[in-house]
Amino acid sequence: MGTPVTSERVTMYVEDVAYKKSISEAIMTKFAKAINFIMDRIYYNERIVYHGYFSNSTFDSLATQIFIPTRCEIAYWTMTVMSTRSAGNNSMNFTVYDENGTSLGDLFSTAPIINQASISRALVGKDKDGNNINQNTTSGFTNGTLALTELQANYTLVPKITANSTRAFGMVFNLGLRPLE
Amino acid sequence: MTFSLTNKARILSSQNNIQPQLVLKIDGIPYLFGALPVTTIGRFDEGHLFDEGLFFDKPIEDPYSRDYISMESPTTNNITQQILQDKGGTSSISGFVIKLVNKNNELAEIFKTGNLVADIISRRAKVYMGFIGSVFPDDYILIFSGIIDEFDSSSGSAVVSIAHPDVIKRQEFFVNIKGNLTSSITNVQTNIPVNSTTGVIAPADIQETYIRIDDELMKVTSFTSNSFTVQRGQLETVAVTHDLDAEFSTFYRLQSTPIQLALKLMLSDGLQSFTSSEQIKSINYYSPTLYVQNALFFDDFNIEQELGLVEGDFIQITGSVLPANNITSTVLSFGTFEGGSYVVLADTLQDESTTTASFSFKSQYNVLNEGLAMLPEEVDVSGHLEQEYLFGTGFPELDIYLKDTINGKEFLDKEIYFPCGLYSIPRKARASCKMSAPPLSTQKVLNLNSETVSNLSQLKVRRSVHKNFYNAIVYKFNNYTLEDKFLNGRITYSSDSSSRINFGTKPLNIESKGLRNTAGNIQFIDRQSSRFLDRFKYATEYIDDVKVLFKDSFNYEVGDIVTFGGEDVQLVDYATGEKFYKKRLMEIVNKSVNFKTGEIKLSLLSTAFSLDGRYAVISMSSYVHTQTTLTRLKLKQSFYDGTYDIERLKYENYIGQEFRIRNEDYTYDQTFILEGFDPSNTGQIIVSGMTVLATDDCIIEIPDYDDSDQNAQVDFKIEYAFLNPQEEIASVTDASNFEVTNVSRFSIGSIIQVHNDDYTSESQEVKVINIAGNLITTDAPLNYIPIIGDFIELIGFVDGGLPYRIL
Repeated sequence: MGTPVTSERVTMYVEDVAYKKSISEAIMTKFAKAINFIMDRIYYNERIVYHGYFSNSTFDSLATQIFIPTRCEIAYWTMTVMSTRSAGNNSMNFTVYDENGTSLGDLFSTAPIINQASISRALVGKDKDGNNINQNTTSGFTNGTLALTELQANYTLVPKITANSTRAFGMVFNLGLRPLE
Repeated sequence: MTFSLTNKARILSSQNNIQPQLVLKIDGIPYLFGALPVTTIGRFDEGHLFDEGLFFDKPIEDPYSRDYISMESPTTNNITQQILQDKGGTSSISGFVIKLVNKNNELAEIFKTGNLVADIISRRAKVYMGFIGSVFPDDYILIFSGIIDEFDSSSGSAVVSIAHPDVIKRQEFFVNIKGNLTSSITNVQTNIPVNSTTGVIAPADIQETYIRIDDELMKVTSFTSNSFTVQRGQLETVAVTHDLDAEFSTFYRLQSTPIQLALKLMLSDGLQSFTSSEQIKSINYYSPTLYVQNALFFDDFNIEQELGLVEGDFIQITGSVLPANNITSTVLSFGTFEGGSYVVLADTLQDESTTTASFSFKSQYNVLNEGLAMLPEEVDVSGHLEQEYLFGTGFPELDIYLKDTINGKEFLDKEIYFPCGLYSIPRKARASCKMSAPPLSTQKVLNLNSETVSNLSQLKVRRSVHKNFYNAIVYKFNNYTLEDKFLNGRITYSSDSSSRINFGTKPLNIESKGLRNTAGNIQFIDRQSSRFLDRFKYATEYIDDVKVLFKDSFNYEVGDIVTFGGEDVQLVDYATGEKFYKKRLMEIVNKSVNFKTGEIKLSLLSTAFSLDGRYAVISMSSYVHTQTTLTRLKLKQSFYDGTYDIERLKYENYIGQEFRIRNEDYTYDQTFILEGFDPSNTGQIIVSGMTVLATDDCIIEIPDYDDSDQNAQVDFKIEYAFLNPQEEIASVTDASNFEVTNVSRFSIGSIIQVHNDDYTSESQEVKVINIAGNLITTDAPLNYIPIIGDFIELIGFVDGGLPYRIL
């Protein structure tokens, strides 16, 4: 495997691309840095928001299903609970359906979990580099593990609350999707 | 690809009185046979005593050195390589003979059957070349590798004959097997009873197996000793009934791209077996300062070079006391250090500072149930992959039907390489290949001029309609399934050639059984025909018997690119009308080396002769450290380039040339002259002409294209690419007459091409025949009427320099 050129936000100058300029390692590397910088940042964010108290019986998952327009990979995700109130698991997962509507199982083999009493704006997840994200929660959480890292065009994701603590309210789930084609 | 030389080898080869040294190494025999004693580096852990008179950092005579090689007849003292580009192959010596003197009757003991090796015949052997004072193997280059096919002995000497790997390639394989039905079969029956299937090759990877009975082909899915299970009526044949005793014969099908096919056919041994190799020195740990996770370490052994392995090949470890280390894994990367090398594997290994483990290896291309069983050390795998990397997307998919037994070398040359524009060459004593394409200086280029050529005044620039000349390319392809005839043909004819050289039609005929009639293959045939014509249509120039100095050229091979010419080369240049031969890139097509006299003769071919464009590569550049004195620049190891382990070697050919040094935003932008290399600091170059100190991370590049003088920057212009000009159309009279925004960039004779913004309108290439004010007139109407704002390409440079084109 080759060595990726480190992405960097660079400014192209007229002198870099003018007639008669030598096509050098430096210039090609500069282009590569810029391309990788752009490619690293091409993703779109799907956001599931549930205001108020949530539970698996009150959540209208079909109304918030996500359609996947192009083959993509999961770049990052975060799950926020605005207020946990009591102890107990709060968790969301997604059922993945293929282009024919056949279920392929859950997106997460271990879904993100927040389980800590009386905290506000607790947030867990993973960033685009695979690092854990944790805010306002110090125990009883799981960042989550993907079962599927890549999704094909025309798949759909149907969100579902898989656990909720008593009187927990305000769930937000961000899913970053990086197009692969 | 030239041989890489160590610094020491470079220095030794540059001495005035060169004394070449040959070393013979035979697989399984520890002794190193040399014409002179073979020296190596002494190590602390090899049991040398300090009262032996050893010194730090000095070479010592290898304890296994035996200076038994006699340079007298019949020892081979001359090697010749010749490229036959228009036949897809190479002629080179088929063997290397070495005479060994039987001192103290020691040869009898060494070569005694069953002593060190089971039999000297069929052992693999390598011949290396170095110089007196060279350290083995670091400072040597491999000049021949093969199998001992003859061993003659007398009381005073022994003669070892080594056959070239091409001899292995010449063996027959995919032997056609015939047999008979043991009962009649219906037209739907899929179990076919036969008298015997012995010798039939099972399908694997890119190879399918069929049997032919009468005019029906059946695809074999499995077979026993006396029956086949098949799919009936394959490859456009019709399933019919067949009689008892009807004859069957094997029919194989190979499908892949040429490089993949060539590698798999050469490297497959039919068994996908591993080959045993060296003892491992240690695992992960080599010394307190050298630790590489998941690495196998070796002393005095460059695993990548010696075995010819590449990333992705397989390593099997056995004999470790740690069971977790006895695994089969994939090669991730290689590394070297002074006196040894290591290979990094994909799987986790546990530390062993010393180990009893040894390893065996298998090429990732050893996947077929039939092949030439060549070892990676006999095949230039990385050279093949380089061609695939450079031209890969342009290679066609071959689909070859093997109706009869084939000969390895003939099949590779004629059916795989040649139709795809490749030709086989020996590289680093291995079977390699190269693309028929204009020259590219992808490696360090040797400059041939009055300083490096010893017989300049005797040279002749030659052109002939009998050699290196074709004005038509005839492809016959799409071989019929059942008979040996071609269903399609395509002729590309150069009218430019015939109007310039009135010699009738001289076609280059290419017959390909593997090219099928697909749109992609037709595109490929057209593109490759153009490449062949570019090379041969004007009876390209060639120069024979160029005598070059040993020190400059011994590590160059046929297929390598050199520059030849310059103002000091007083050969009339009929292309330019100048009295000197304008410097250009040429390809070495013939090389002869005499080990006794040190004489090297080359034949050069101008493979870009009369082209209307230039093909070049990306130029080198480097970051520098903060400059403290205006006459020195310290270079950083910059960008990626596996060729140069010392950054300044990028600039070795360009002492005396002007370079640019600038910062990222061009607010600092100067030029300097490269005066030389600082002998006291390997990272530093000596410069002149600078007036302001450079800051950290300033960039050295070659300067912008100098279009004021066509003889300025000649080396840079022929080797490296610059951005071509692009102009816009300002007004349009008709398809042949239009005004341009910057007419000063055009000259009569320029080739131009016009297109709109999204290339939905794109003209053919036409020539500028008149310029009046801003009005351009072309020799033929564009194939569409351009509009204001359309773009003009391929204009070239105002010094007469041709545009840089995409290969």
